[in-house]
Amino acid sequence: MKLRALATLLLVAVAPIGCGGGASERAIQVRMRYSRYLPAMITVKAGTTIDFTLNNTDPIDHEFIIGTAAQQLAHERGDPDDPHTGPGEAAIAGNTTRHLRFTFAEPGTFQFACHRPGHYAYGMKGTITVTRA
Amino acid sequence: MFRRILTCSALTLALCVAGPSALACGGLLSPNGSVNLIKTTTLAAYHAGVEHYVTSFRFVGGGGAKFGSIVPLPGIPSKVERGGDWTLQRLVREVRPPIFAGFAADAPVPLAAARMPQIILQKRIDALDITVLNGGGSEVARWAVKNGFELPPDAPEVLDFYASRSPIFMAASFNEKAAKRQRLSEGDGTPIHLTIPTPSPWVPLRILGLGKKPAELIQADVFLLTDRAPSMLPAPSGFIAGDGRPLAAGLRLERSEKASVQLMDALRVDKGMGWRAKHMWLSYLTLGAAAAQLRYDLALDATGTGRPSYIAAGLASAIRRLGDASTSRPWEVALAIGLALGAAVALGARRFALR
Repeated sequence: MKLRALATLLLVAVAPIGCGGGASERAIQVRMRYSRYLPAMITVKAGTTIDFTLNNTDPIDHEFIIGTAAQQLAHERGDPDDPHTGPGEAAIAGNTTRHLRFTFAEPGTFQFACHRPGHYAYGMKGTITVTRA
Repeated sequence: MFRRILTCSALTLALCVAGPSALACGGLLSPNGSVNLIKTTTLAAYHAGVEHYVTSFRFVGGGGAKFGSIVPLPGIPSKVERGGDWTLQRLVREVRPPIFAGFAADAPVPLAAARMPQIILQKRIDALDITVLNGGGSEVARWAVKNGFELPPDAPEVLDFYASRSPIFMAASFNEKAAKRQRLSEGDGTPIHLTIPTPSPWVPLRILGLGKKPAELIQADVFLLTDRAPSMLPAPSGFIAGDGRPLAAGLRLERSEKASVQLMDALRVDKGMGWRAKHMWLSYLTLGAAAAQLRYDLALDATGTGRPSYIAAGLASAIRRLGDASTSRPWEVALAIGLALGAAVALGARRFALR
C-alpha cells in the first residue's frame, strides 16, 4: 500500500517534466536515400518537441544537423571530423536508424543538412518551417 | 604527350580514401573534395562473344591522400591481366599522328549486419591491387567503406544504376609498399586488360561523372575494335542510325573505318592482344559532356542486327518512366512520346482556339 502511494507520488512528480510544461510532441520520420532527405520540407508549430526517426538507407554515412542558414554555412566551413554530438545534431552511419529529439521554441525557418565532404553541395539539405503555436 | 594520355584510364569511379597511398584514373577526387580533371582513354574490343577491356591506372604518388577506383563491368571477367604496354598509345597515335616524323613517344606512363559482396577475384598486378566483386550497389559500397574508401555523395545512386544491370565491379587501388618497391613515380601508369565473356557489351561512361559537380566537363577518348561497324546506343553525333534512337549528349564519333593493317600489326605484337581478328573495325569516340548530362553508358551491337540494348545503355529506367520497358520496344516508346507530344500540341491549339 505504501509502495503504491509512493509510486503514485513519483508519477505525479515526473508528469510535468514529461509533458514539458504543456509543450506538444510529434514524431517525424526522415529517410535518407541517394544522399537526399525525404521529406525535404517539414512544417512544425513553435513549442513542439519533435522525435525525429532518422533512417539512413544509404550504405554511406550521413548527418542530420539542425540550424539556421548561417549555422549551416559555419558547419560547412568547419572541421569535417566534428562528431556532431550537440543538441540538434546526429551522425547516422550507413544503413542504420537513429532518433533525435529537438524542441523548436520560436517561429522561424531552419535548415537540416549533412556536412560530410561534398554532401551539402550535392544538395543534401532540407527546410523546417516553424509556425506560431 | 603520349605519357600524359597513357596515364589516364577510362571508366573508373574515383573513391577518395583518407589513407596513405594513391591510385588514380578517370575523374579523381581528393579527400578535401577538390577534383582533378583528367582526360581518360580506354579500349573496348568485342570479338567472338568476348569483350576485351583495356584501361590504364595512374599512380598519383604516396604520402598524401589515397585514391581508389571502381569500374563497373558487364560480366564476370574470365581473365584479369596486365595490359600491353603500347596498345592505348598506338590507338591514340592512329587518330592523332605526331606532327613530326620520328617523334619518340615518352615512356608509358560497418555495417556488420549488412550483406557484403562476394569476392570473385583478388590479384596484384605490378603495384595495383585488383578486387573483382559480385554484389548489389549497396553491398559494393559497404565493401568500399569497410576497406577505407570514402564514397562521394552520388555513389549510392550511381552504383545502383550499374548494379541493376550487372552486379560485377572491379575495385583497384595502388599498394603503397609495392609501389615504393617498384619505384613508381607520380604519373606512372599500369594498363589492365580484362577479358569478359558477354553477349551484350557496353562501355561504362556515367561512372566518369561520379563525384563531379553538375557543370564539370568530363572528357574521355574511347576506342572500339569490333568485327564490323558497331551499332551504338545512345547514338553519338556523327553516327547515323536512322531509327530515331536517342542521342548521346557530348559523345561524338570521330572516326569509323576499317582498322589499318599497320595498326593491327602493331597491336598484334603487344601483350595479351593475340585474341584479335585479322581484320577489325575501328571506331574512335570523344566524350566532352557536363557531368549532369552523363546519364548513359554506351551499348554496342556488333552482331550486325543493329539493335543495341536499351538496358545495357542504362536507358531502361528512362523508358520505364514513359511506360513499361518490358513490354515497350524503342519504336513503341518513340511512338508514345510522339503521340503524347502531338496530343499536347493539339490540346494547346484547342485552348488557343477557344479563347
